[in-house]
Amino acid sequence: MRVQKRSPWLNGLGVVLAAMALCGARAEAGVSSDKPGSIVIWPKVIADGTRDTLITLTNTRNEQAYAHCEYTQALGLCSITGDFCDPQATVPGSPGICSPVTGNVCESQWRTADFDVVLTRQQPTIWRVSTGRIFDPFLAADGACTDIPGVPLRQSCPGLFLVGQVPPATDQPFRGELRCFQVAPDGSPLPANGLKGEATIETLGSTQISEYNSINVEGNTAPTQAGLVRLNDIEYSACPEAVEVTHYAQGADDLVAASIDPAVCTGSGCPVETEITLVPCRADYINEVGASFSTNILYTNEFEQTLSADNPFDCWANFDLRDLGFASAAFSGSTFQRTRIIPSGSGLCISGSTSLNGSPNGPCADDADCGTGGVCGPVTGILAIVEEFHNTDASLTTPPTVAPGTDAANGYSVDLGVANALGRPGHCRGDLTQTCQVDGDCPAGFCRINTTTACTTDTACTALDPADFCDRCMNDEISFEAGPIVVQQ
Amino acid sequence: MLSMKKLSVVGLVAAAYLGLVPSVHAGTFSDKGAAVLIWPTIIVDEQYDTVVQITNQAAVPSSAHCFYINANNRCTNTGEVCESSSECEDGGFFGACVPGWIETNFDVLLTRDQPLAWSASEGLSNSDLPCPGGFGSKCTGNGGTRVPPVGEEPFVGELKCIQSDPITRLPIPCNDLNGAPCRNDLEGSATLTGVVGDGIDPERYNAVGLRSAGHNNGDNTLTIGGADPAAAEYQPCPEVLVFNHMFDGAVDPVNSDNTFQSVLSLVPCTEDFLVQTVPFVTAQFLVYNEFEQRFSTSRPVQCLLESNISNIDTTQPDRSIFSAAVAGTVAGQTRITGVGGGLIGNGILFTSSGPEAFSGAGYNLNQFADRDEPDFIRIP
Repeated sequence: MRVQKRSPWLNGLGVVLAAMALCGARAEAGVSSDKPGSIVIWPKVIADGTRDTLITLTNTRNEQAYAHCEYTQALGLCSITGDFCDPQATVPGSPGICSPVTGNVCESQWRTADFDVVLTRQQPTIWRVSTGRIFDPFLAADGACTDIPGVPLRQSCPGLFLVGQVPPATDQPFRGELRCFQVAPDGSPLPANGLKGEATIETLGSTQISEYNSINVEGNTAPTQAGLVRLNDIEYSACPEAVEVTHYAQGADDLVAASIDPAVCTGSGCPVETEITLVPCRADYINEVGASFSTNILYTNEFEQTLSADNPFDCWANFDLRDLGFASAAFSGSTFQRTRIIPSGSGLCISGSTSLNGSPNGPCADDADCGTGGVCGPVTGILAIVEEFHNTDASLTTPPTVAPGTDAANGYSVDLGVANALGRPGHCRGDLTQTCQVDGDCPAGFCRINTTTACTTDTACTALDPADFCDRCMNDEISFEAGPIVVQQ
Repeated sequence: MLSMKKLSVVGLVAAAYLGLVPSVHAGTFSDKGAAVLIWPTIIVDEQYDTVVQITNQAAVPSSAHCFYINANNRCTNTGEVCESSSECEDGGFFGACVPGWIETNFDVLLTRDQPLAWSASEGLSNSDLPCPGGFGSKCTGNGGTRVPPVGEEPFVGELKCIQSDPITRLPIPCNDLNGAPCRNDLEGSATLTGVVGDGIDPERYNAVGLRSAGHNNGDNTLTIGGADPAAAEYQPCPEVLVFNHMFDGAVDPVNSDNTFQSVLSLVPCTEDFLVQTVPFVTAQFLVYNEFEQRFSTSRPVQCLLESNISNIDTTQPDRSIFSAAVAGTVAGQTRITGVGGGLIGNGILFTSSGPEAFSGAGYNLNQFADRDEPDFIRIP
């Protein structure tokens, strides 16, 4: 009998590769706006009667792609009058504020609407948020969409649209976000990293547009828990530790407009206003719960002066710099500033009936703060978009004769040095002060459903409930359920 | 404990799995701190100027050695700036309008966490510095910074900044494994700002960044990517740029009085500032419309390609594969591959309801896969 000689080198390679596959190789930070991903996030989507948004979604791979998408309406509702309102608006009389009726306050909502999209190989597609899109195979291929009269207005555009239609944003006015998840035909998450997108926000009745790239999350391995995608750099890439944007300081004058044409800035100086949009990485579309998040906002001007503010937000935040009380450019003398947004707080109740502030889904330090059966998870990561509004004398008159010029840009990911990587580290269940990269970095965890049962593997939890699993190293999560995707014949 | 035999088997399975996972991690970033920043579109003319922003992401000072590249076309006979040979008439004879490449360089020193900005037309003189140091200064740290205005108006070109040692003006030697970590501290953006009618048209895009590959020998040749990880000092340029756009002439689905026009800017990854060699790369374009139909063309990129997309393949835009009249749909995807070198770029989308009513929006391109061949930047 021939004796096979083993190669020590191959054995060693096998050990290394086995370790990588079994333990999960920590991937390079894969939340970015310039590479395709398996989760595509458009943080700022507007369809409110003054502005509308064109969404483009593209399949960058040579096989058919399926996407399950979720609109999230972030406008609140006035508690008495039922009008739409802006939860961030605080100044009486400002847009989005509730009418001054006793007890009429703006209550945050988080209403979602889902739909599916099917893209053929390398196919781009586009739809308008306020109208959605309906497939019309008989539409002339002339580079123009056709309105379909009705309430709401619908639209058809030339091109393949295999799923049949995309609905209009359910509530209008709509201000919120959109996320699309690459899925298999049966609706299960698929980390194929084939999707990318852009959002073009247009001011109605003008030519003013802003455009930003979607933020795409790369997937590494298929999720192990049904309906739960973990952004932990093992299943899908982790969100950044912090985000930052550089922009005109509040009320600063445009640097060059007056030099190009002094006549447009004679009265006003052409001040620039800035809005920053924040969305949490964590989302629970199954239970329809938006993630609250607290932030430490540091802003540094050109004179190296740094000030900070702490702000809590609910599920989606879009604020003007004036809302934060930042020193204006007139006071500081600085034309530009860098704003860094860092998630803060000890923890976030991801299940349970209460929290440290008495509301579900609020802050916590441990599971007990979330009530019976509650789970205290790490605070959520944050993603950001910045948009600037360049005013002239004509845009500031009453009524304005032109719209402000608009531009948008993606935020930057920041490594705070906690894990020496751009992706944020996890935190151990039961001791959120301890950071981790993998489950092995934490002592025994607890089951997610049977929250008092200690565990080191899922087996201890599934023995009690097949749907349960073991939490040890926790990070951001997105839960959603998608059924089989139907391709229209 | 798994036996060695079982581990070998598992390892083979793992190797097969990892081999099947496509390598799609290209190394340019427009949303992360970087060691080299590229702004592919810098424009100064009578209607537009460019506001350049650069920010130090780190809590320690950073320095950048920067290069403006003037890519204006010039008449071979008069040396004047031109857009076509018909503008090169002198004494009844016509010269040729050929791409130019003139480089000027300068230094920017940033204090910790500092944002800094200037207009390309005016630059940044000592009196404009926020932190020049000296008596009466609010802060120090920008001393040594002097940003010249761009060399001429009109100006079309690019800007490149390399995180560097403020004394040697070369990349800082570093090695992530030897206690001298490489730094990726620079962020940037450019806002092309114009006045159109009574309004302002701002078009902002993020600078494209090259992050460190983990080591740098600090010499004047920056090695970008390549198959040899020991040689690569910066992460690679992408194999494919993914450019989503609206086809030229497509009707805006939101404001149907408006039509779209897209502008693409491409610059080569490889540039030699030492011997002033004009880089030449051929860009191959694969264009997909919403019917999954595919078209293709190619175009040389000599120093800089900045073009309406419907002028990439023809002088008659209505006949272009980038026009809605030919493609038939509103949205398109164009995949751009560089032959003979890598490419970096950005896009601008315009909407227009007439020659005097238009505005644009800048955005970044996506990317796919790493180039196998290295690119180089050689600096004086």
